[in-house]
Amino acid sequence: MSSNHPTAEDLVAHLDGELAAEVATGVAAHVTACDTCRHETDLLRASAALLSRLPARQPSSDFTQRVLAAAREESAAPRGLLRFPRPLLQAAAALLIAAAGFAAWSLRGANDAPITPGGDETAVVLTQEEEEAIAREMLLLGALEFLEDAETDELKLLVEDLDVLDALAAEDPDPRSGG
Amino acid sequence: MLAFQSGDESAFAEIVRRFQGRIVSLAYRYLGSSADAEDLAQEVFLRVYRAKDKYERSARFSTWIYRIASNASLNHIRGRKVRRRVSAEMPTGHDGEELSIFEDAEAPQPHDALEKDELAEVLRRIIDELPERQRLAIVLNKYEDLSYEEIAQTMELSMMAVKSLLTRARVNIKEKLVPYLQSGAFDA
Repeated sequence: MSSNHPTAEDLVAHLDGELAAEVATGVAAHVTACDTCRHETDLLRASAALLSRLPARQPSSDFTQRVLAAAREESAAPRGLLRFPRPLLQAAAALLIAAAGFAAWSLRGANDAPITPGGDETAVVLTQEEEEAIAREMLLLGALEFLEDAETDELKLLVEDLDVLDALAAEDPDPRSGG
Repeated sequence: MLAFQSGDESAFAEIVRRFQGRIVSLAYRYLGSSADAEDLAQEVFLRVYRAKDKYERSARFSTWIYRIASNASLNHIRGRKVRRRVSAEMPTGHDGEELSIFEDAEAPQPHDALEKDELAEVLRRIIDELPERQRLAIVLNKYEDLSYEEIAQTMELSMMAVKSLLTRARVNIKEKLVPYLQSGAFDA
């Protein structure tokens, strides 16, 4: 028996007619002469032939009309955020608000004294609360821009992440508690 | 497709009519459910509709739409796994990819002569048990008659990766069908 058996990849590619001519010739000659490889090839060929018996499925008679109707509905819908399903938007908004809240919370300093720019009497003095509110606004604006550009599947992944956030919040609502 | 890109909406209808058979069949053989197949196929065509400006003239349209269908199929399977919220650890194959869960324990036995519907059920189970990318590669190769190179372009993989996927899938299928082949349950 030959010790240079073709690999399984070569046998499958050979059956599929995907081997280069010179390689195919060599594999064919080996399979003819080698009982083991010929048996393996026969099983691969027979099993592949059986696969073709899995029936096909024709589209229903109104499939085209349903697709065109859905496409018309999409093109008629307001552009931007409102093209996404409402529950998905609500879930994504909840996720982003939660993320914005966490980010704002993490901006808290050791004290809540107003932050005063050094030495300029005309500078606007913002309290810590005002700083946090601005940070939340900026995060939300960024999130809204993301939603505008995101594909539906990305939003679905975001919705799935909501479960993860809920689980994290249940474990430790205040990550700084040290608990 | 070029006409559609230029604003001819009727061209989109023509695209749907020409490709609906292939896309619905691909979806059905991949997912195994008629209802899911049409839902997925509709989603594929809507993605084509939304992404018309992204189609590049240099690409074959059939490769482009198959790529959209492949991505949609893989996303659908992954979404289905999340929605099921399987608590038991998913069984894994030799390459570490997850296998689908066998939900119906009453499978026909290899020694029984199988009716046509039972044969289809056996084949359906075997395909469902394949890891998702092996399943997709087999559907594209066996049922859509795509060459290895076309599958590589569709799945955005190297030729070597495609050969590996198809080989593992074919060996998996062979090993599961051997008992039926040896018992003569399937007529030749």
